[in-house]
Amino acid sequence: MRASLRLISLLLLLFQLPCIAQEEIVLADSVVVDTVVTDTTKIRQYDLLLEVGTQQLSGICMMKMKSPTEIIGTVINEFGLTAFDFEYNGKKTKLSNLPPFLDKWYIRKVLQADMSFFFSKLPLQLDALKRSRQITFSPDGEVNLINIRFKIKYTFTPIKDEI
Amino acid sequence: MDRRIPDTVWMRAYSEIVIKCRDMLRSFFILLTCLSALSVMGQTKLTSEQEKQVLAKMEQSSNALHSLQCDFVQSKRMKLLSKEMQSKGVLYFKKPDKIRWQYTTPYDYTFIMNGDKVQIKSAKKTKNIDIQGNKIFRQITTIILNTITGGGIKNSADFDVTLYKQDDVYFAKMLPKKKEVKQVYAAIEVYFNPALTMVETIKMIEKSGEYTLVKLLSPKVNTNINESFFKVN
Repeated sequence: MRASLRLISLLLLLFQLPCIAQEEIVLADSVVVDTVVTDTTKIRQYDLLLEVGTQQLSGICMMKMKSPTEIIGTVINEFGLTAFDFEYNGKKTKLSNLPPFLDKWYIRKVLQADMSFFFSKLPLQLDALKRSRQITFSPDGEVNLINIRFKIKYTFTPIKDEI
Repeated sequence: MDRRIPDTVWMRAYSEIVIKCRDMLRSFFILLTCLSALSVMGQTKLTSEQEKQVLAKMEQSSNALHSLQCDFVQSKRMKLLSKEMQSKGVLYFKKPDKIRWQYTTPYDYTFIMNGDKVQIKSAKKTKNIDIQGNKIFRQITTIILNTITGGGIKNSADFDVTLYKQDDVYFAKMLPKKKEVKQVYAAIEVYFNPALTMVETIKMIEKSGEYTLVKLLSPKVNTNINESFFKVN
């Protein structure tokens, strides 16, 4: 009898675990909706400043949710020229449509890894330091990502207008 | 009793399907050819005589233009996001080589050119560039100057230029010759107003097929523009 009661308690506990986990997911999802990428129809825009040593590149980064876990977007310069398109599948980022001067394997590799780190930290918006990357979130919505190894700094400043 | 369908019936059915598919494909290609012919039918390449007249008129208008002030609307259709991004701003131009290209919405970004000096001001940074030491910027400023005034467009060393007429509108199709520009742009099209006195629209077509349209609106020609607008610190 005691053994079966223990089993029932264990089963109840096991059944409760997914509910607790689900609550956490819902909480994380609600943060996503409130802060960063709103939904599959609205596009969030950022002013993007990329600093590599003394060199600076600026542009506009636009993104939207393709599904609850996937993000797609594009980076263009202010004059409208496409720098690259990106697709984040929840784990990795794939870049496409790069002009020849950016379409080098070593540039792709660093950009893809940096963008993946950025997207993975977007939902919870918590400052993080992992290996050679650091990300900080300001209360005004600005996001700073630093690739410490290659000394690359990305500054994402939200543009209020949504498309 | 053997209830299988004889091989000959299968063969006949198969050949009928193949013939039908072939006919459908043929019709599709005919339709496609007609459609593409229709799309270019509207535009005609100017004859050398027409081109000479149009260029003379453009040159005359360009010579008469000393300054220009206008609003602009820039739009870009993004394939991946299936959306159009629109930005707006103001343009100031003073001959021979002073430009202030200022985006005001949805972002702040100002490109100032004054002779050999270029200044870029974004929300976060201000950056000065010496065009002489920067090949790409030299190309960009040449494109901007050529396209705004339209003058000397045919003599450009950086582009192969062909003039076309579409309905009442004349436009120049500029195919880049220089490697730096060729890497990103397939062509730049500059559309003039029917009177050939002003550039109205600039279409920058990227190699991927995506393009950016810049429309110049409410132009004010030869007004007094404050020199401070072109000041590069």
